[in-house]
This record gives sequence, C-alpha cells and structure tokens, in this order.
Amino acid sequence: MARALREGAFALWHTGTVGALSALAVGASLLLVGLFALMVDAAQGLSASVKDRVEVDVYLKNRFSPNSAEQLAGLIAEISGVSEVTYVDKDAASKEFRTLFGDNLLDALSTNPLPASLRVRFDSSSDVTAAARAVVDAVEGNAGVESIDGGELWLSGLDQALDVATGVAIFLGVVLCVACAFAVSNTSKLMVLAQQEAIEVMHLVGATGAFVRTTFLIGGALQGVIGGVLAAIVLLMSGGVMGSWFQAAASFPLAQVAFGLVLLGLVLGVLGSWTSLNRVLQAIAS
Amino acid sequence: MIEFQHVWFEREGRTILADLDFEVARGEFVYVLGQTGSGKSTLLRLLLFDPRPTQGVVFVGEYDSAMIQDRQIPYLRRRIGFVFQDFKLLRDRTVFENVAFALSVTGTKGSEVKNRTLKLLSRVDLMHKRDEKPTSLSGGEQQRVAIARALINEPYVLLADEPTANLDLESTERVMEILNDVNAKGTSILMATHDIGLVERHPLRTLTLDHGALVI
Repeated sequence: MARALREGAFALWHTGTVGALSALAVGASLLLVGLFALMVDAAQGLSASVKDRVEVDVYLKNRFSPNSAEQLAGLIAEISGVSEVTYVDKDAASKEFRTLFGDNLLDALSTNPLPASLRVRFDSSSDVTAAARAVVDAVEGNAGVESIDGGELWLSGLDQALDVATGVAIFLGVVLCVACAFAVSNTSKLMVLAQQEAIEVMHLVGATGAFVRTTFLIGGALQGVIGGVLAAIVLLMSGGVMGSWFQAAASFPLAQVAFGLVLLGLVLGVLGSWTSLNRVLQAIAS
Repeated sequence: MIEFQHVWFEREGRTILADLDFEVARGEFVYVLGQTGSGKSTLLRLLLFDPRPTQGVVFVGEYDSAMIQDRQIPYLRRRIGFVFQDFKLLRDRTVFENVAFALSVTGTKGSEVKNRTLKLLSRVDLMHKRDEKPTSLSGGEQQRVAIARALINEPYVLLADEPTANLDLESTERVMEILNDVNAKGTSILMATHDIGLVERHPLRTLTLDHGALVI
C-alpha cells in the first residue's frame, strides 16, 4: 500500500500544472458545495427558529363561557404538534394591548372591546405547518369562535420556499460534484498517459493489475483530498468573516462541513479516476 | 525450462510464427537469429504469455501457456527478466530508482529493495551513477541499467531483444561480458540479434528464424 501511495503521489506530481489546476478546480467546486451546505443549514435553522415562535390565536365570542373555552382548549391540546394552549381572558388581552400600544386608545372606549382568546403554541420539532392547519380545521365553524389568526398560510409558503431552496442547493451540489469527478477523471487520464512507460515496465516486471490500478486510484484520491483540504481551509478561514457579517453564521457547523468536504473530495477523487482508468489502461495494454 | 511445442502465432490473418518446436535447458545461453520482421521479438514476447500462441503450447518453468490464468501471469514475469533494444528506462527517475522500481512494485520490503539494488548496480559497475538520470548516461551504460533492472527479481530466464543493436563495439562487449557472467550463475538467456559478427565472436547455440519458421 505504501508503494502504491508513493507511486500514486509520483504520478500526480508528474501531471504538473494540469494536476495543480485540476486540484484547484476541485477545491473551488467543493468550496461551493460547502457553502451550499451551510446555506441549507442556515435556512433550516432560521425556519426552526421562526416555527418556534409561531402561534395561532383563536378569538372567542363574548357569550362563550370560560368553561366552554377550557373544553375547546382541551380539544386543541390533543392535536399532534401542539405544545401549549393558553386561555387569554378579556382583561389579560386588554393588559397586553395597553403594554403594546399604550393606554390612550382603550381609555377612549367605555367598554373593553377585546375578545378572550386561546393562544396555541407548537412543538418546533414537529411539523408546525400541519399542526397549525389541524388547529384551524378543528376550531373553524365552532359556534363560540369569532375568528382565527392562523399562521398556516405563510408557514406553508415558508416551507415551500425552503423546499425549493434546498432542492436548488442539492441540484447545484450534485452538478458540482459531477464536475469534480470529471476534473479528476481527466487528470487521471493524463496521469496514466504520462506514466505509460512506467505502466508497461510495471506489467513486464510482474506488478499485478490491482497494484497498477491502485496506484492511479490513489493518485486520483490524493487529488480529490488536496481539493477537499483547500476547500476546507478556505471555508474555515471565511467562517470568521461570515460570523462578523451575520449572527447566524456564528453557529455554522464549520468543522463538520470542512471534514465532510475532505471526505467528499476523497470519494469523488476515487470515483473520478475509477471511471477513466479501466478504459485508458485497456487502451495502453492493447 | 523453456519449451515450444508446435507453436503458431497469427496476427490479423498473417502468420508471424510457424510451427516452432524446440527446448532450452536450464542455464543455457541461446541466440535467436533472423532478419528484421522474422519473428524474433514475437518469440520472446510469447515467453511472457503476452500474447499467447494461436496454436501449440509454450512452457516456461512450471507454467504453460494453455493452462496459466491471467492472474498468475504477473508471478511468472517476476521470474523472467527482459532487456530491450531501446532500454525502456524511465527518464524521470534516477538509475537507482529505475532498478529498484522493478522490485518495489512487487511488494518487496524497502530495506531489501535498497540492498539488492545497490548490489546489482555494483555488479554492472554503475554505483557511481546511481543518482543520475538515464538521459545523462551513454547507450552502453543505459543498457547496463536495463540489465540490472532485469536481474533484480533474480529471474531464471533472461530475455534480451537486440540488446546491443544501438551500442558500439566496446559497449557491446561489456554487455556480453555481463550476460555471460549472469549465465554462468545459472540464469538461462535467450537473446534475439541479427548481429552475425557478435555471434561469431561469442559462439553459442543458435535458433535461426526465417519468415517465422525455424531454419534447421
């Protein structure tokens, strides 16, 4: 294995500028893949944080008694994904209003016009959109319910936007990965062609086909790893800069993504050289 | 040691070798004579089982061309040294690396590779050139590096395809001296050549080919 590693490094070294440029191209592509991964992670973090604050307010008619409201609250609490149902009576609603908008508006009125309500909160680890929709479906049409201020519509929009963004990021990531494998594949061909004489000598002196193949697979893997390490270094260095731009970047899983990029580089390097090796080696043998 | 049993070889419908039937004993030194295109190189390549004969069987040691499996061929080749007219040295490696290469790709330990390489470089009188690239050597020196590489796996057969064709008389004699020394230590040698003068200066058994057939 050490011999194959040495020969693989030797073969890669001898591709010179082409090999270096190819490793840089792999690094740049992997860096973009890493940035997409971070963007998806950030978008999902943002979505979770938004969903954590989602609440549905079910406004009750004035003639609806507190006992009936409690019964309705019990019904809502049983819905999957609901974490908390709070009864906000007219006085509490008035206090909240005064806190938010001052006393002047309500003081001008002789009676408290604000209705009592049930404030529903959700477990952010569950499907909040579906739970909010279920709450709305459950209380809609109830004789004691005046109106519902639900977030299910914009939540659904947020989910769709996130799905599209994630889909685009995954698609671009896959395209970039294919581009990486293609770059390594081409360099592997060059490696093999540049080492044609060495391969012929290897065969003549009794090197096994597996040894010859392993040598160039290692060359491809090294190229992928070099690209991955370059991408990881740039990503880690840019982590501080991104953190100073926006707060969410401070919680990015930079180390994990950087390690993932090196691994991805290794896998793409092996795959890329594997796809070109058989064909080129057979061509040389014939 | 080596035996051709009614061996034929055809390529693209053309007969290259026709009904070759001979034996070479262990420790024998045999010339394969013939004009360019008479099939000398193909005869030597058949001993590496690359390619295999169209008809008949080639025996090398315990292996035969009819029975050997592809995965066994590398192990046969470790017991056969091959020297070419154009040396086939790797220009981007030093003399030492060229010789060591043949042993290292077979998985031999690093310390053993170093010891055996230095010993062989000393045997072909090239220790002082071990760190130089082949391009800085004379033709005769390059051929001695190629011989050292062919011998590093301690083969029981050495195949030499026109090894002196590009060399002057002095270098040719030096190469022949080394080959005779190798042969004296028990290695069989088959040497393809069309240099009649060399054969007359170093008379040995000859197999003469004419249009792929042995001339008796």
